[in-house]
Amino acid sequence: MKERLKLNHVKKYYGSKSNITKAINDLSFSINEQEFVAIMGASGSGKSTLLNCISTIDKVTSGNIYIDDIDITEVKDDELAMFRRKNLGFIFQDFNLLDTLTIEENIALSRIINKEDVEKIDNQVLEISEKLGIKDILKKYPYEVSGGQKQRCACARALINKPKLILADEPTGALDSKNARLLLETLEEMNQNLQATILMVTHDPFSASFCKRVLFLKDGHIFNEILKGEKTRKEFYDEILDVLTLLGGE
Amino acid sequence: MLVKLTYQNLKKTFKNYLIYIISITLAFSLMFSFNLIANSKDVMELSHVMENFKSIMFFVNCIILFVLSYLINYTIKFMFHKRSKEFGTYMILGIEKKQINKMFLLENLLMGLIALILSFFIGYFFSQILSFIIMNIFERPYKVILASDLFIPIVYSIIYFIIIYFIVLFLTYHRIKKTTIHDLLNLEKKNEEKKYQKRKYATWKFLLFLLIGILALCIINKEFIGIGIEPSFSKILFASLLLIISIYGITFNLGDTLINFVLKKNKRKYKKNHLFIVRQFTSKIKTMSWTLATLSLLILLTFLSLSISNLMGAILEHQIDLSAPMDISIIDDEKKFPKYLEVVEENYQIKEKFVYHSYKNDKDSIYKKLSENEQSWNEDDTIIRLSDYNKLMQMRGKKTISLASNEYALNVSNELEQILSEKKEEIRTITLPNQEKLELKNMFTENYSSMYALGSGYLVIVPDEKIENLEIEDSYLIIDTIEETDEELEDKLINAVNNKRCEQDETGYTFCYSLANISVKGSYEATNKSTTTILSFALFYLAFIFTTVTGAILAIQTLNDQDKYKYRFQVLSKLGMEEKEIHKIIFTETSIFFIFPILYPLITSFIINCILNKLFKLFLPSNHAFISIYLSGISIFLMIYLIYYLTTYFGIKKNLED
Repeated sequence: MKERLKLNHVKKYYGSKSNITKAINDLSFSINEQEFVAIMGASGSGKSTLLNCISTIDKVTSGNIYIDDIDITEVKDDELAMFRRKNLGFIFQDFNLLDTLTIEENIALSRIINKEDVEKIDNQVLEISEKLGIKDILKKYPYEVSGGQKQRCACARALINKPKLILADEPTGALDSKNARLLLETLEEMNQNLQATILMVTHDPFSASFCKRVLFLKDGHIFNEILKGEKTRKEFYDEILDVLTLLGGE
Repeated sequence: MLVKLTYQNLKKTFKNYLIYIISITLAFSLMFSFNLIANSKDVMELSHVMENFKSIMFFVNCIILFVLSYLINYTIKFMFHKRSKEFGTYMILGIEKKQINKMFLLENLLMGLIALILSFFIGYFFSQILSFIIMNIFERPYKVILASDLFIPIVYSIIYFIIIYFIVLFLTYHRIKKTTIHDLLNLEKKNEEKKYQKRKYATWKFLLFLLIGILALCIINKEFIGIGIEPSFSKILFASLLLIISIYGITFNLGDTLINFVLKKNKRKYKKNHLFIVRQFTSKIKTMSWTLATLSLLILLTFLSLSISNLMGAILEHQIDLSAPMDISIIDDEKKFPKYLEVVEENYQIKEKFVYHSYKNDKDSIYKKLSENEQSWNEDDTIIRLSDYNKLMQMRGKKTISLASNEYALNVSNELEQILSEKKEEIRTITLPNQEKLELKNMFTENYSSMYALGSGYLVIVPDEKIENLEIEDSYLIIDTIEETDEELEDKLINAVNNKRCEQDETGYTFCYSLANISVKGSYEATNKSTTTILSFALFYLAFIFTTVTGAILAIQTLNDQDKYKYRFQVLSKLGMEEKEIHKIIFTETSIFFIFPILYPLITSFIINCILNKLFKLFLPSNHAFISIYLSGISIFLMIYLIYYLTTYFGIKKNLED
């Protein structure tokens, strides 16, 4: 399998010399094509910083981040926006949908920004929304649909550009347990059937148990890493809980 | 505790609403300065007409009270909405509603008081500029308005302030009294829902209201037929009502019409940033259609005030040239001329005097070739010697003309120019009563003397030798003085020669009129200048306040929506939109938002100006002069408006960059 994302001795320090916070401290790992990986950790463990660095919203202090052999730490500032829209898809905790646009238009938005052929956009929106089961609500506004549907709309928006990597930041954070489960199944499906590579940041073991691999972050570096392998979701969930206990009990 | 909270809130609010505070300070300052001018003795003494200034000012102040109350009420309501969560939290914490109400009212009253006090200083400064302008118009030395004149305007300002704040605070008090904690905590959401409501048949309604607007303009066009024909008041009122309905209707339905139009076809919809901009804009006009429509109406009134005041100014200026181009011109019995000269010589040094005559042609006249409604009361052609004509032109520093012995020239008024050009063939040859035949050399419009000297609307200029044996129609005395003439000279001239004739009509009513036609430039100028000053100052005053109110409301709205803006643009940025593109969208959005309310007024006021031009073009230098007059009028509005626009645009940009 090809490496999709690769971090090489990444460091991210905040503050001045006398008072340095090492948000990410010499972090290296990689994610292969079509993987579904979770990064777990308590608040302050460096999860968000890591996600910001990978999503090119923040700059690293040192080290390299590669997406398909492109070192994103070397990409020029004025090319970053273009890089993001060509290569990355985002799913946020609070959906980040635009309230003035319909669901359909929200999904189409990333295609428009990408200056895609306007003729094709409609079909693409229809196709993706069919796959994610939101075809019926396309004409509605975000305020008219449930949180779960909103998040699936966000998934559709992330998917429609066929990005190399989808970054999901606590995607179930604002959902109830039923909708959370539905969404995770959607992500699983996106990963398995649509060949999407997904990196999800979460602190919820239930969410993490849907992934193929979980990385545990503590104080800016990887504390542990477990693989699902042939385990059932329940077994994997218990294993995650065990690691978390260890992580918290240290 | 309450005082401390109020103080802190005030400090916070001050920053958010700086533009509002500046605007009401400006508005109060203008109010103070205009009242100061209207009550200034020096200004009153400029001319007897100036006394009307005060009463017109009172009327204008009433309108302004209303508009300012609207702005202040709007902003307070807006602030209350924005801070509803904060007030809700206070109430949850156990602070009584009464207390909150008191605190909020106190805050606003304090803001108003600050503006009022500042306005006395700024207004005083403004008034000096205004008085400088007025003194300049009347060509008098500029005088500083003295402190003794300040008392009454200050009292006026305070009274107006009390009226405005009494109304606004009363409304606010009752509004707050009626709201519950639940309302407070959900107030923001309530407003949000409006923007998604879709109006049915919006496009059709939009077209209907557009038609209503066109109908209104047609009625106005039909009513203003000509000078002296009074338009029917009820019809004009009806047309104005239709215009207002049309403004509101169009504003209310434009949002959905735009959506229907732009977003219906995917090609248009997904092109560039159409989708985002249209959605943003329509959601905005849907949530504030009442406000935007009211602003459009205010802007329409502003445009009309500015352009009409400018038009009147231009007309009156041109009138001086038309009615009294010479220092003194008198049409009367020639025997009385020495007496007139005596009166003038008592007061002025005469540089040049000139007596000439006009002659009649009541036989084969051009007059008879005109249709009934083109004819005037003169009933014959007025003829003048070429040398007299040239002498008059010389005195005015204008070009002289030449004629061959068998030629004549026609000096035509603007009114008849078109008509007579069409009849050129018919009037190619004329026969004078002394049987002299003359050919038309050319026809031109040139203002050669008082407009009363233009006979039936045209003047036949013939070679000197052809005048023989013609009957004298009128005798003219033209005097050029070294000093500028003044208002009183006209009265002196009329009284010096007993020129009044009194007659009794059938009902037994006695009426008097002056037999002589006396125009003194100074008198015309004084009257015209006073009328122009009063009119344009009052209208400008209105326009300035309207502009301030409009600009302030749009700026407050936009600047307070910044959090929403920020969120939306963050999403776009995360989705990979480039910064350059985002800035372009902000620019387009803010521009559209500011341009939208002026679009309808711009078109409507221009059409109304065209209609007015139909009436007044006779009194203007040319048929198209009104266009430049109109543009220069509204440019003042656009300049102030531009300041508000730029403040808003850079405010948003800075906020986003932070």
